[in-house]
Amino acid sequence: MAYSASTPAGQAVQNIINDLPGLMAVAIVDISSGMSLASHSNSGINPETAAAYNTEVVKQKLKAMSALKLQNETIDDILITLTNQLHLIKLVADSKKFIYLVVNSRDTNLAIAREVLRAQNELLS
Amino acid sequence: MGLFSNLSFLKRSQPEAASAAILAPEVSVAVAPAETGPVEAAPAPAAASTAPEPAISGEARAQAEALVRRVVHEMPDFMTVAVVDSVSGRILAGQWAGHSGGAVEVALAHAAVVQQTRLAIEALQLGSEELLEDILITLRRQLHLLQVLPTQNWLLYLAVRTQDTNPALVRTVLRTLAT
Repeated sequence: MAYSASTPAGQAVQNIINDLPGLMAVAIVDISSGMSLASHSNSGINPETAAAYNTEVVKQKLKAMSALKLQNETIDDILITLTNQLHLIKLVADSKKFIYLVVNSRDTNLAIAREVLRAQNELLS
Repeated sequence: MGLFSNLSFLKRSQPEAASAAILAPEVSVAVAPAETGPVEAAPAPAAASTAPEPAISGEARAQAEALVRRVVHEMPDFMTVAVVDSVSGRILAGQWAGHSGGAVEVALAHAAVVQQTRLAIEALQLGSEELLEDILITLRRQLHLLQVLPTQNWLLYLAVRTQDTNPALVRTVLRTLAT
């Protein structure tokens, strides 16, 4: 367990684990550094690796949005669908952090995953 | 190991050279291979690593255009539909009805999103059975879906307004058309 429940990020991770006990991995990631503030994994997925690489995915999409010249638009979330897994990146706190969640798509769908992550928005802002 | 080790096409391309390619609805985009665009004045050092890409065959282009037409038929409220080579970032076909960015630049940037996601999946060592199917990006007022097509490293890019549809519908439609 790479978190302390006494921090907001650690509390958010704990809340997400409580709501989705079958999750594969979760992390609260600081976008400026690509490092996780709190994380937990129930699988072989290394949350630190996921934090670093997915920060770059978010940055690439921000570049794509500037190519699109979108104004007054922000990313709510990015859902990556794999054969058996959902990887959800939910941006919070003015896009300074994101929650990264991996679930098995048999157990959890997008609506459930989003609902659980949305509930942590206030805690992390 | 750099995070961008597989993204060499980003360094090579000059998206601003073609950013004037804002096209009206109903116009199919057929972007010519990179060599017809303005290139950098000085040849890049180590240019040997960027071999000229093979031309896109007429058959491939026709196939991509047919796919775009099917998506437009199913999603008449679309803003952008494009088939892009996810490795080179080249556009094979597209209709650009509702955005202001340059088509080539937008295609390259989204190919980079897919490449970066593939790097993440690889780094996480999820196993060979876990393959990327699609990436859904929810913005405040738009949905962008990047659907990986089963053949040829193609990527289907769709942008729609959130008010016109929902993520479940977009994914269902594209998944059906992509197979």
